[in-house]
Amino acid sequence: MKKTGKIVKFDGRFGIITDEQSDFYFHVSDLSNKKITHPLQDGNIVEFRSEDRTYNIKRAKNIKVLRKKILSDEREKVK
Amino acid sequence: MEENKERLTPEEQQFILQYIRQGNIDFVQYLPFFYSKSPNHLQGTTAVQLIKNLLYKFDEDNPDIQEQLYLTLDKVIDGVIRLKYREEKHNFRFKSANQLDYHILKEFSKIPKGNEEYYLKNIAGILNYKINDIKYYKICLEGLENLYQTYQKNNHTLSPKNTSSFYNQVLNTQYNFYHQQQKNRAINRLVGMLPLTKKTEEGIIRGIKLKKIDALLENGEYERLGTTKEVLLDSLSSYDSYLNSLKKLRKEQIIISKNQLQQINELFVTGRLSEETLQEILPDASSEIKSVIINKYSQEKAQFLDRVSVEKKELTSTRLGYNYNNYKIGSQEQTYQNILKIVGSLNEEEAQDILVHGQVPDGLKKLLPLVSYFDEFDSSVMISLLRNYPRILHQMKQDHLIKEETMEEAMPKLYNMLEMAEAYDGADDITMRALGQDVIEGIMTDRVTSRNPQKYLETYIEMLKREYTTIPPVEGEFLNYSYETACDSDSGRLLIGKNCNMSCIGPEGDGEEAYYETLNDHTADVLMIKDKETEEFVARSLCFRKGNYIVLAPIYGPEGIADYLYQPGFLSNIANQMLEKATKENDTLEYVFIVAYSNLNNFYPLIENSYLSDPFPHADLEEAAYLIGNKDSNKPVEIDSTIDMPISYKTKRDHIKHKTEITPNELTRIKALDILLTEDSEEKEEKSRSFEEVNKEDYDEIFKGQDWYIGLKDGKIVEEVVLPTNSKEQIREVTTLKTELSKIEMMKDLENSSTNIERYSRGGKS
Repeated sequence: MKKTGKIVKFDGRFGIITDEQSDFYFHVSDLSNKKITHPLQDGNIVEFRSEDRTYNIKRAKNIKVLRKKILSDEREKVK
Repeated sequence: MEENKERLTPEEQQFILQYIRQGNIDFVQYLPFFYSKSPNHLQGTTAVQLIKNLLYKFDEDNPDIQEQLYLTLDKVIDGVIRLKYREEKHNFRFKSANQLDYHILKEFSKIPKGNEEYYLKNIAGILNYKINDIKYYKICLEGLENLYQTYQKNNHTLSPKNTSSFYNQVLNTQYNFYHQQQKNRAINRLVGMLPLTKKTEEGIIRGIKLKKIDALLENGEYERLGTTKEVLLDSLSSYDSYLNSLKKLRKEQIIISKNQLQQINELFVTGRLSEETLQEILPDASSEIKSVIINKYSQEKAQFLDRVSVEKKELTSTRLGYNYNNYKIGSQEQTYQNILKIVGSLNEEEAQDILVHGQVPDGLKKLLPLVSYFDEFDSSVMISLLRNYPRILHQMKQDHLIKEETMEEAMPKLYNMLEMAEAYDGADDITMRALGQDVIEGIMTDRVTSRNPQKYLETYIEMLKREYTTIPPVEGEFLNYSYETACDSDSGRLLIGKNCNMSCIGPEGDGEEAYYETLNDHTADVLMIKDKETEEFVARSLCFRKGNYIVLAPIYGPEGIADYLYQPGFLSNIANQMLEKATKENDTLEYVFIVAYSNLNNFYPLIENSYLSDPFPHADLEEAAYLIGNKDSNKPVEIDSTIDMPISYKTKRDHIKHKTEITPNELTRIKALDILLTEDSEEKEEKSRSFEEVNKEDYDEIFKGQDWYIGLKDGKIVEEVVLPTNSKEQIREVTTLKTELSKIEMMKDLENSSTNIERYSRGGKS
């Protein structure tokens, strides 16, 4: 199922996306565009496919960055 | 995990081990292996960092550490057995409560009045079959008797309330039996391969040496001991004073006289001193006193221990009780080897996945000495744990399996950790949907052939593309079974190896060539035999065509050769179908053989010819086979592999189904396959992101073929998924359907137009 969420934790290899209801674990290889020029950051808004696995493990795949955090921060400042 | 094309050479492996032993790990990065220009190849500096992170040094002769390793290994064994049971459950007759319920109700319905005892005993026997325990049999019988009474009272039905306790007992006992059996096997294996502890080894060596010394004494070979008989006797001439001063002898008031001493000394120097021989000299001495005397004399042999040697091979035949006092559960050298294996199999990305977590926790490091004792706990499993342990601990805490996110808390639940590691790294949803849950589970059984879903996915896609073979297709029913060939859309075919108990027929197995040939090529096929009612796999036979003959490989089921299917009624039927079709098409096929694995001498001639096995890949074919079908039995048998095979027989295609006949899984599978076969990467990612299970209720009508589906709403096509198999039949089916649909659309338009014309004619505005 296609979902939208926010990256809340990313250590360069593994991370967590949350959509307020659930946490979805992801690996850097789950990004749709493996050659993104800007580094992935906490706060990035992303679109992804959710996968349910055993032990309530939820994984995010085919992740596409919709909005960078920096952009939204700048908008905040302008306000 | 990506496969590394480049591997460490044996010399490089030795260098790395040496650097690790010496503590010069930084030198590892200068090895030629790390100079590779391949993208994502493990970098030297990364390898150094990884080895330093993993390095686990311990005193392997410390019994406390060995005790910890022993307890950890026990958890590993239990975890591995639970994983194996999950994979091998299909070998048991009853895998679930539902299956038990189905079987028991079926059997209960057959029980005639007045003969209940016989039938119930029969069912109890089936439940006890693999376990073979009389106590368990009696428990089953009693349980069944109670269930049957309830069944009769409840108008021949049973509810979960009546059955759950008994079914759980049956399934739990089945598991406990399996667990015990596997644990015994695991321990037996460990005892055969673990080194002895230093102390135990020294004790055994001492024992072997003492026996050798006795043998030398018995043979009078005193010079080999560096002494003479006289010197030895002389050294023991006053031994009576010493022996008689011992507390135990004084307590029992045993006094050895000079005469008795002489006799005992004579026995000793001729290697014949034992409890039995001592009995004649000291008949009144207790067994304990005799032991004391023999022990004291044994100490006299200690001076000769350096005179005899023991070879390593003399120790290997010794098998002691499995515990950490007797066996070294983990060794430093084995730990270094395991670290080397892990580092040697990683690429740069995977290594970074491990390094990002920082220092590896001690609890995980303690697993390093134990890696590769069992196939199910090898370096790839360890890598998965190293990559995922923070998430695993977090998830275990969330699921209330542990209170704190620590390895100490998690280790007792190693099975859960291993399952979670699999869940994190397992096949993704789309691959699972493309292959189906049953196939994915089947792939994960034994390790004789590949467990990589990608390989099976690629095979399945090729299966869908195959349109014909040179083997005339057959199908039919025999007893409780149905059978057919040429059904390429059947994903169950992917498990022709996995379903047959450690078969090598599969990707990366010895029978890989036969696997791909029978599933993807045109001159071979698989005869699939299934249960008529449940459609569960029963057996298979690989079929190969060459020139004017076909050879059927042995019929294998989950337990091995399916003897019960070697019946003339079955085999002749198959051969006759093939030959009849071939004759009708003017094909060159004349003979059908089956490998001689069961005695059919009374029914078929046995033919010996190297061409019955030589031209074909490894599939247990032999040079002797029974001729089960012959186009003309009046002519001598002349097999000819060079004759053309002019006829192509179309493989079966699924018939086109309407909405009511289709299951959501079938549609989802095609959608998943469509994604996986999409070439443009951006389009593939977008499709993947939007992937969901297909809900057929979203459409007014759906038509589905083997490799396509079209969904309609309000008479219009709203979704069309056509796999790029480039099949002529697919193109024909889709084109025909669209033509028919457009005709229907045109008819509707015409009807609507007629209605308008009528309205206008009836006095509507002109």
